[in-house]
Amino acid sequence: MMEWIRFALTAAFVLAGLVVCAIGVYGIFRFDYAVNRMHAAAVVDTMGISLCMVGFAISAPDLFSAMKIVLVIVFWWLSSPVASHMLARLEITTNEKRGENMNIHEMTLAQERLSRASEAEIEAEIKAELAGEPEKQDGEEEQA
Amino acid sequence: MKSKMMNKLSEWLTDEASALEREMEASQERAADEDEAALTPAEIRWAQEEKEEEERIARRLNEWTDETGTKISRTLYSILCLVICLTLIVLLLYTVTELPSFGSPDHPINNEVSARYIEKGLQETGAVNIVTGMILDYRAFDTLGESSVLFTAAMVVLFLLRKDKESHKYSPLAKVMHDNPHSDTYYEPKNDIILQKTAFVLVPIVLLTGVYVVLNGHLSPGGGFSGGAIMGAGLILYVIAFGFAKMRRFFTYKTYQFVVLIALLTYACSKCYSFFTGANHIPSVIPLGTPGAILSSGLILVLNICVGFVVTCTMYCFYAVFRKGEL
Amino acid sequence: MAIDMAYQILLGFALLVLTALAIACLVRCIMGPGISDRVLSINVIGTLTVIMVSLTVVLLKEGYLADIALVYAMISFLAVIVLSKVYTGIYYERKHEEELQAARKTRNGEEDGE
Repeated sequence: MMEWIRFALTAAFVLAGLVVCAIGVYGIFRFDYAVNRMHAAAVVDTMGISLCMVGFAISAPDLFSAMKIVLVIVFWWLSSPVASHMLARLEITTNEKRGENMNIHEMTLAQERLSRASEAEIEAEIKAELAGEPEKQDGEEEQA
Repeated sequence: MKSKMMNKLSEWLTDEASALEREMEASQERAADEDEAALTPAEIRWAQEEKEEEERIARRLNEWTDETGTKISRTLYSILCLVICLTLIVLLLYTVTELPSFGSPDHPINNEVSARYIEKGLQETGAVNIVTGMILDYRAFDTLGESSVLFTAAMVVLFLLRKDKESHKYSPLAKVMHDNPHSDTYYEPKNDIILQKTAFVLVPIVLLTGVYVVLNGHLSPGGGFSGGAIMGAGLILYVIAFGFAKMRRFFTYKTYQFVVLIALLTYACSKCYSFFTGANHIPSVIPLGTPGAILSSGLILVLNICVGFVVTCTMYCFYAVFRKGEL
Repeated sequence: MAIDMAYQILLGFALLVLTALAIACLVRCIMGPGISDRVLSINVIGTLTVIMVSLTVVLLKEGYLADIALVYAMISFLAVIVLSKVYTGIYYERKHEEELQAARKTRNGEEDGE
């Protein structure tokens, strides 16, 4: 009887998790822009994986492996937001048409510009190029 | 005494090198003189005609590649891709149908070798994990070869891709890179605070998981290769978050050489000892211990740690050299 | 045993669904217009694979497979971070190259005009 209760709990959690995963993957196709798609992917990354993993941990063969499965959830919850952060950064830098599809606060763009540590150097280089100076100054700076 | 000898040796070496350089310069000058001196008007005309001919051919070649060459090569490329993939798929599927069915008693893998491994493996090697007992005890020589192959691969990558101060003088590719010092590593976002705080928590966890997999290699699945790969991933995560400058505080080219060479030498020495005792029928002094304990199964633990170090350093070396050109 | 049969049916069905979802993500990865769409779907494929590997813990009743799920989670995380960082760098490099080209062109044009 105990076994069947465990099975029922596992089935409920796993099926719910599968439904959530399917909704997330549907969202990846439904939405049009990468930043919108990240919402859908986050559904899979948090709710889907945790429901499925809790289901598997309930009927894991021993306590130690159940703990390890829970550890996977904790690790994924730690790492997935950082991955999303890097991905969003990639998107707002590489998307040329970002102004049409999304409103980005000016602060974000300013920070992004600041984080290009080489911004000033690049501008100086372009100015030198415009003025007709060869690029050699830059190389000397690198060596010095 | 020793320092004197070293001084003499270095003097001799520098003399030799400077003599070679002088000789090369002299020969180049001689060649240049000959070129200018020996030209008659007819030869100059021939040279001009040759040059024009070459230019015409080059122009035609460029036109051809611009118009039809790319089209032809692209079509050829896709057709070749399709043909090669289809041939491979058909061959592999045919081979799969010819294989004996999985788990059948007359399968060729069911011979006396595997029976011996399964029956006496635990008793003879002391490793609960039969696979580790096999690759690090019965076939340890193979595994030494595998680690050496990894080491050789890392060495070759270092030879080909490592940048040093002089390399732009010899290689045209390095010259291009030297003239444009800003590769993509220069522009990538650095010092991302979110990534750094996460890496601060995650890098120790990843490294500890790798150590656990390496040390438990004789008890559970895993071992030197997989554990080393995980530790290498931890090092790569550290580099991505904190940059190469912080990594160089504790991991440089010298550290790499030292760790890998010590690990390979330890491996070779301990295996030599096993071969010596085994070939002469001398009982080994290293106890096998109780199966299942962490300090058991003789030399397998040491060998696992050595392989783990080699794989860790090689993983990190590949990443750093391909990304930046130096360790 | 009825309970083993029930587990096999449930987990087999879950595996089928997860495989279908991973293939759908692969389609998005090939279709995706931008680079971030592709990296995003690779991230989702990693999540689905971690779920699949943990599923085999229950299906085969082998506890050590949970280690593999943990390791796969680490590697997948690392892959997304490295890919997004490398592509940001490459984007800036290309942009800088184009700016330099444009600057060169304007300079040459001015010289011709003079």
